[in-house]
Amino acid sequence: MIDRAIDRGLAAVDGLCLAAAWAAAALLLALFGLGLTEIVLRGFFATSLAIAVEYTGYMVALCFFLGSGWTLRHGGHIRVTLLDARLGPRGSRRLDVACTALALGLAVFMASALIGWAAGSYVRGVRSFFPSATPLWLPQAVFALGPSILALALLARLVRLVRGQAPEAAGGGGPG
Amino acid sequence: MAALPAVILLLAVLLGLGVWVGFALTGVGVVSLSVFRDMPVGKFLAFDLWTSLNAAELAALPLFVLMGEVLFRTRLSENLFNGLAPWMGRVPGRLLHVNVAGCTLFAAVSGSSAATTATIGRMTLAELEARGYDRDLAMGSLCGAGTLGFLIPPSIILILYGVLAEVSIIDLFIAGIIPGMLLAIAYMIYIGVRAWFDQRLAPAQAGGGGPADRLRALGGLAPILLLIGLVIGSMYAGLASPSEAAVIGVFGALVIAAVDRSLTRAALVAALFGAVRTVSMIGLVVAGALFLSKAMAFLGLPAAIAEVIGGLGLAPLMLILLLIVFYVALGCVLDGLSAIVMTLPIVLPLVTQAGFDAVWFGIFLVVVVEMSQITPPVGFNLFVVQGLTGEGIGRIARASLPFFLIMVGFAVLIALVPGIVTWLPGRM
Repeated sequence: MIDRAIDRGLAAVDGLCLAAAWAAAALLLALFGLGLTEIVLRGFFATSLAIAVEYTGYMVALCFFLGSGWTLRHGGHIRVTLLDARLGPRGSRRLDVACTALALGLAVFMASALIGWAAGSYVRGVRSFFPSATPLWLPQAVFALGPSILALALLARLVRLVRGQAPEAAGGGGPG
Repeated sequence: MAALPAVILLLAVLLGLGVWVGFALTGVGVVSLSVFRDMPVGKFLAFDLWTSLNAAELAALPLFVLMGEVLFRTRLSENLFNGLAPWMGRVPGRLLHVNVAGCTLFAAVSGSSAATTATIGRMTLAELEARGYDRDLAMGSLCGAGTLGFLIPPSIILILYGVLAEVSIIDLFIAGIIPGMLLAIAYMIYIGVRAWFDQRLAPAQAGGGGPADRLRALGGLAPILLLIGLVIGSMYAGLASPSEAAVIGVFGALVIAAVDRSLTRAALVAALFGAVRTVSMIGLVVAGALFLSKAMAFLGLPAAIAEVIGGLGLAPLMLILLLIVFYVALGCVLDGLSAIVMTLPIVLPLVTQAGFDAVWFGIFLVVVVEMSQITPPVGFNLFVVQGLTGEGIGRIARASLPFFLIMVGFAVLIALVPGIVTWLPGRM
């Protein structure tokens, strides 16, 4: 009963990570599309989008972190595995639990700091200094999603390790 | 300075235990600020993450990654092999040079060494094996030449270096061209000499290589040469910023994929997700490194270290030699990108104080950390070649050793003759 609920929770986190990775992929395409539009506008029509530089910045920040949870699930983040290779399977799992718990703590700290930062911008009504005067809490809130999803992915990883499941998804590349 | 040994020890322990590099860096920053300074660490972390990653000039990085991922899924590597092979038939070492020339050309459209090694190796290793070439020389030259991905523009490491060191990214890109080509030539000379003395390393083969073949082969190389011209040429001519050149590059890569009919929906999705994976990986490491560097600046550590090193009274060249040893040691356990971003805040002031140019140092640093791509136990090019061949890391590392030594020699050479690096950007 509880087992099945945990399974469902883990699957939900996986789904959320994948959805965020799709969003990151879409942002990459949008970054390309915006850049191409700018080149065409500047080169052929001697004009430019007022929002280009500002929104390029937001999109870059977002695409650095939105896929982070999915990347963790597929073993894509860098770590040193020297000690891990020397320990037996049990020791290595314990070490992994400790590392994952530590990273989870830091990710929660990071996420809550970013959520607080976005909330602060909302309360103070901070707007960007670009002509668009975008309310900054909007992009900042979306930015906070990345580390938040990463924290959830680390929690799922911790649960899987404790239950003796493989922490990383088989296969490494595709959106599956 | 009491904080310094504590910070270094904590970082070494966290990294050694296997905490993800980005989290280890962030963690050390958080702990040292909370212990040694009384400040709202969370607010500072949020401010730092937002302001350093919300940067339009960083757009070049994800876009160049995407460009490489698209090209990886085209028939570019086959075309490179078929285009280069007819030209190499009579040179001592023959098709082994395709590794070097292929990596050099692909490096000019790719920002990463692992991507360069994977793209070229996927084609060349099987072909060389089938034709009876020496396996060690084939693997070693691939590992060595693959590292050109970071040196020859575009380069992900140079983009990050430019942002961190506040140096023009275009100057860095232009500065990497001549050293990259010289290094490639050095590899080719080594292969040629080895093959000259031992004919069995590169057996002769029948057919191919007439003037007609060569002309036809050139047609296969046209797309990549055109793409290199567009991407690097537009930056060199001052027409495009690195981000614009990256947009042009993605566009060119998509056109190449469309023309050779490899632009399927599935391939595009796979390329996008491959890029998301790499960009996320870089994002976490860079976020951690930027935060830690600000935290260290708060604690006054770079100045303290500069004082200690300054007190040693090292000659500038001794400092450089020391740095080579330091980065080779670091590179044994870390990848090049992490090694650079985490040490730069401390090392850069030291080096500029000793009278070295920041653009020169960027190139020097890339050459030095490129070595880390092929040093065991952690070397990304070794992992890529292991994935391609199934050989053990030990054998691949031994096969790469001569190329590693060439890089060490080359690093010393550009320290002695800095003009190799600074001449071309100075002419712009």
